[in-house]
Amino acid sequence: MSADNPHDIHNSEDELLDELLPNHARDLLITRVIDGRASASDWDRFRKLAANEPSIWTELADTQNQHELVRDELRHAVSVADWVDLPGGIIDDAPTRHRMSLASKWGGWAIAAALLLAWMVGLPQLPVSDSDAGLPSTASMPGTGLMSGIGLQDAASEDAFERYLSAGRQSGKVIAEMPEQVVVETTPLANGSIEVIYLRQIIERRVVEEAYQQIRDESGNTIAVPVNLRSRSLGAF
Amino acid sequence: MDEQRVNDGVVSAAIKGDRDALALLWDDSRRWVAAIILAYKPSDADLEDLLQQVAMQICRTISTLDEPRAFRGWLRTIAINTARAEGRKHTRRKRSMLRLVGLGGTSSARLPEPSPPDELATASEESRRVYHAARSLPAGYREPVLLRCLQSMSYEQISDTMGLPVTTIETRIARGRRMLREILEQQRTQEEQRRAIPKGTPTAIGGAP
Repeated sequence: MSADNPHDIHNSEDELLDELLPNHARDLLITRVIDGRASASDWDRFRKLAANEPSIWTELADTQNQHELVRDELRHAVSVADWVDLPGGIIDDAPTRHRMSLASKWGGWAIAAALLLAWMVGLPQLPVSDSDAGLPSTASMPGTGLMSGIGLQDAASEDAFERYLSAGRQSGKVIAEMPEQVVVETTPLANGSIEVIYLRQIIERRVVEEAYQQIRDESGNTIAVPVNLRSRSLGAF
Repeated sequence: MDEQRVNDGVVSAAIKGDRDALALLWDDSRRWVAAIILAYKPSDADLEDLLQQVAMQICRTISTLDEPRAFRGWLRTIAINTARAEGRKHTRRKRSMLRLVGLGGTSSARLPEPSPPDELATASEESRRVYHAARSLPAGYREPVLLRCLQSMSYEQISDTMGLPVTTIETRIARGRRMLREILEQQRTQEEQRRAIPKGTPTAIGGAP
């Protein structure tokens, strides 16, 4: 109970609200009791009200119970925040990890080769090498034979991309490209133009025996765990 | 939230580039930031990803904050904008997907809702139902009701964060809790009515000639 509540239950604002919103004073009393903010006069009013309308006890009990249920759920839900720290000391590395975070969120479960393909093909203007992006070498990645087969190193990036789509459609690997690009970041440049980082989204089909999802273990390390695809419907992984 | 730790001096130091001060601010703020994101994000958006975006945004833009006292409101705006931007992306993505599968022209078409997020995996049905009902409150009520459920947030701190008088916060929490009671009561009534109708009972549609 708080004795220094500066807000008398019947100030002019509350009287006005009481007229506009039925039960306003009643709701305020209940909320003050639940939150430990009820003054001595609030308690007097609550007891008088309860003497005439015992149902206010039920309302108080229900509201208290609901508050505790939401509180428990919320505590569980926001506990994920404890795993999220500020970006580390290497600030130059932050944009890369930011983009990778967005890209993996978009893709959900990420087969590394597919993610690498989207990265390289979707961001043709950026001078990003495999090592710059913190990714393993393309040559060592499985499933990237299509890229080497279409001569990505030599052709103009747009041309190579179209050839990738065409070859992918013929082989049944590519279903379609999503009509809208997702803007990840925009940066005004000194010359007045704007650099736009964006995702081009390609829907691919792949037959797999098993898939893995990236999660964090108790220590915050990223680990891969098997995903039961048979229980998955449309939605994020 | 410890008022002694997070004061204007810490915010000022963070604005000047003190990473320890910034880490202290984030440590004290991230739970209520998470609650605000939960109040505004699409139900199937990943909370951790959005928190990472907010953390990144803080690092990049804390130096642009002019007034240390405005820190909570500034951080709240970042959290809300991040959550709403995610909502717009989800909408665009769903529209694009609908067009691809040939449903784009029908306004009533809906993709199947994804299964509930893992964040609620261990919760009981009842608490999950109440929590979802709380998240369905109008935003002006939902946010203070959720923030109040974080035990560390006082009315004064919620007021400071939302930029509203304490009396308004109190009114919204009181009103929001009543609305929550009414939503749950309505759900309970509908559920009882459903149970009261025996299976196989003919409905009015296509009824007796």
